[in-house]
Order: sequence, then structure tokens, then C-alpha cells
Amino acid sequence: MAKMSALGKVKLFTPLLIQCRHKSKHFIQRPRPSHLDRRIFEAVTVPLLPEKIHDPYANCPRLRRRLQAVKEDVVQDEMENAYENYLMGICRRMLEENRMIIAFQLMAMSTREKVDIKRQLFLNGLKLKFVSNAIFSDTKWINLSPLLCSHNAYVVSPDVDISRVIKLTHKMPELILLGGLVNDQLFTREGLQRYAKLPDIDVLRGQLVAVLNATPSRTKSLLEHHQQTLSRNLDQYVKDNTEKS
Amino acid sequence: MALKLCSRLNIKDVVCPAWRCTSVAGFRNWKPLPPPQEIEYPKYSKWRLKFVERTPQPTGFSGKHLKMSKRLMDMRGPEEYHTFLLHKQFGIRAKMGGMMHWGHMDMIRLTINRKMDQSRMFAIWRVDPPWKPITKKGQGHRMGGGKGSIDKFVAPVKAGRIIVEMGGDCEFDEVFPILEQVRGKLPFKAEVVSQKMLDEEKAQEEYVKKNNMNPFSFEYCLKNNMMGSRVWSSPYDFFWNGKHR
Repeated sequence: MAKMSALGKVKLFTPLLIQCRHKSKHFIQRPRPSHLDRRIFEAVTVPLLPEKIHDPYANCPRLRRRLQAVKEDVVQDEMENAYENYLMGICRRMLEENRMIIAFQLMAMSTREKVDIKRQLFLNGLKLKFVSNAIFSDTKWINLSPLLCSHNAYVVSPDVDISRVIKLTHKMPELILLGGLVNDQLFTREGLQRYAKLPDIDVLRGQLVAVLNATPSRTKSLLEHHQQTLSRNLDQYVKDNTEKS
Repeated sequence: MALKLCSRLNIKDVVCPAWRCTSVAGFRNWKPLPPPQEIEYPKYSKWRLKFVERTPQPTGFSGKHLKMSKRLMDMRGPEEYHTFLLHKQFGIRAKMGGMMHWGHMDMIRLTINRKMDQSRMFAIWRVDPPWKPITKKGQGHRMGGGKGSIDKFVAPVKAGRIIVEMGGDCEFDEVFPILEQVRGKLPFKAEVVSQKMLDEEKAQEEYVKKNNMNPFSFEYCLKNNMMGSRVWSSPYDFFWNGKHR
């Protein structure tokens, strides 16, 4: 009867007969759904919590992750990385040992193509290296820094032979010449190309000697010129007179 | 994640021809792993779920198994004691009451023992082997003639009870798929829990208790017969404040 009274609260229409089934036993795993009164009661007694204030630092996962990354990087910089130091040592040694360092920009190419290029250069006694400009700070190579943006490649060799490098890389459209450092001297792209066209140093020395010799010989000839013409004229004169007589 | 576009040393260089972008494998100085937390391993040598007997030893005076009433109270309401993780790692928790018979126990044992790396992980039972006799009348029997014979033994479980526990030198992501597979096959709703989740739950409960702005709690309203709740409420509502039925 209690149930009936609960159901009959809405008095708009009162049926003559109300059926209400009472199960004999409670089924634990599937309890009967709550009736309206109980549902209202449950909804009213739900705990009310204060609304949380929006805190972007606490709620934005992206921001949180970035802050964490910054914090980690600071920690990383403080920590000494032995492996990084080892690789830095290799790079520094490479720069110190090689007298010719020529920078190239890399165009898009597959790894296979890159390997082919590397091999061709290696067969000619040259090496293709990839170095970031981070290690050049506070060294004598700091002046190279305009060439060290992005991820450039460097052709290095202990012997200076620019013409060979230019000749080889002329056939490689993937490598674009930027400039270089030869015998501790910076070269632009044009400078390198001009350098490459120059003949061998012995020939150049010969030419220099020739140039140097040219001036004294010319002075000598200029000084002797008048005397020679006079003697030549006198000779001619003597010859003419002897023929007449 | 290991790839980091960075201005550090770059040795490896991959060029993608389709997009003309250079992705660079940089260095990430991963922090050393934290030292392993102190894990309390079980005392016995083999860290695997032990075989569960299908029937318990007969306790009756006559050497026979005694029949029992249904005692639905064994599965009704919240678990009072076995609600925490002994080893403070991972486990399965029942969300509602139910009965586990020998088949379920064997399924859990075989699945976990097969999938678990027993050299570094362990699993323990947190429920007793089946002890409660369930009677059943054979098929095609007429009603009457007294109580039926014992069909099987079960282990009753209340809501919130930990059923198995896993742990050792492992992480939640490692253990979760194993326990999840077991969880889905249990005869009641259950969930995979870790100690962290339990702690958070507890903290949330405390937070709700502290910051609840609703003065009308379920308990208070029921006690004072608000909204005529005495009409429909059951004694179990007074026991468990509407959380279990």
C-alpha cells in the first residue's frame, strides 16, 4: 500500500486498479531502477562542489608540457653530456686538421644519392661532413658563421686543391657552392671559382719572374735605344760613302 | 620523441625529396631513470598464482559437505576489509557483488601466469578459494522433495573487493592489458586499479567531504524523513547511505 500511495501522488487521473510487482528477492548485480521519488531524492542530495577557477597553467596540457620542456632543457644544459663533448672533439679536430673547408648547400636528395656523392668525393681524397654552427662560437671559425646557417655540408681535405673540388661538384647539381675557408683565408663563391681557374703555382711563379725580369730588360733596351740607332745610322752612312768612292 | 629539431650537433641528416624539408636527428639528453622503488615481494619462492581447489575439504561431522542457505548478504553491500592493495601496486577491484566459481578462478590463474613475466613480476590471490556450497536440483525434477544436492562451490565477493594483485618490477601500462583481459571475463563488473588511482580516489573523497556545499546529505535527509523518504526507503539505505542497495 505504501507503494500505491507513492504512485498516486499525481491526482489528475486515478486508475481503478494499480498493479505493483514485488520481486521476492533482491538481485544484487542488477538492482531495480530507482523510482521517481527516489531519483529526485538522490538528485537533491548530490554533493555540490565549488566551481574550480580556470587556471591556464594548470589546465592547459600544451602549456604545461612546454614549461616542462624548458625546465628540462635548462637542466640539460647544466648537465655535462660526455657523448656530446666527444662528438664536439671530433668536429674540432676535423676543422683543425683540414686546410681546405668548402661549404655547400644541400638540395633535396635521397640518402642513396648522398652516399654516391660521398663515395665519389672520398675516392678523390675529399670528405663530406655535416656540422652545426653551434660549436663555432668563440673559435677562430666564427667568421664562417654566415655560411653555417641551417644544415650545410662541408667538403674538407688536408690538401688544398680547389680546382678538383669545383670540377667534381660541377657534375653534382645537388651541391651548391657557397664559399669556403682555404689556408685560413675566407673565400666567396666567385673568389673560389676564380681561384680554381688559376694554373699551377710553379707556372705562376715563372710568370712572376718573367714580369719582374721584363722591366729591367725594357729599361736597358730603352737606354740603349738611342746609341743603337746612332751607330746604325753611322754604319749606313759609312757604307753609302764607301760605295760612291 | 628522440627526434628534436635543434641547433645542437647534427651528424645524421635525412632529406625527404617530396617535401624538400630536412629532418634532423639531434640529441636528447635523457635523464637517468629514477632508482627502482622499494618493492615488497611475496615471501614464497614462486611468484605465480597458485592452483585453486575446486572443492574445499568437507567440514561436516559426517565427512560430507554441508548445505547452506543462500546468504545473499555475502555479496551485498560494500567490502569492509579487502579494499587496499597489499603490495601497493596493481590489482583488479570488483565494482559490485557477485560469485566467483572455480572456472573463473582457473581463468584468472591461467591468463595471468601465461602472460606475466615471472622473473620480475608476481601475482597473488586476494580472494579465498571457493567455499560456499550452491545447491541445484537436477534437470527434470519435480518441485519438492527437499533441498537439492550441492552443484558447485563459489567464492562470494562484495563490491570494492580486490580480487587479484600484481606487482614487481613493472609499470601500469605493462600490467594493464593482462588484468584488463581478466577483468572482462569476470561474472561481475570490475576495474583495473593501481595504488595511484586508489590514492587519488581517497583524496577526491576527502575533498568532497571538505568542500561539499550541499547541507542536505543523503544520510541527513533519510534520518529526518525529508521528502517522505521513510515511505520508500529500505533498511539497506540506512546502512550504506544509498551507495549500495
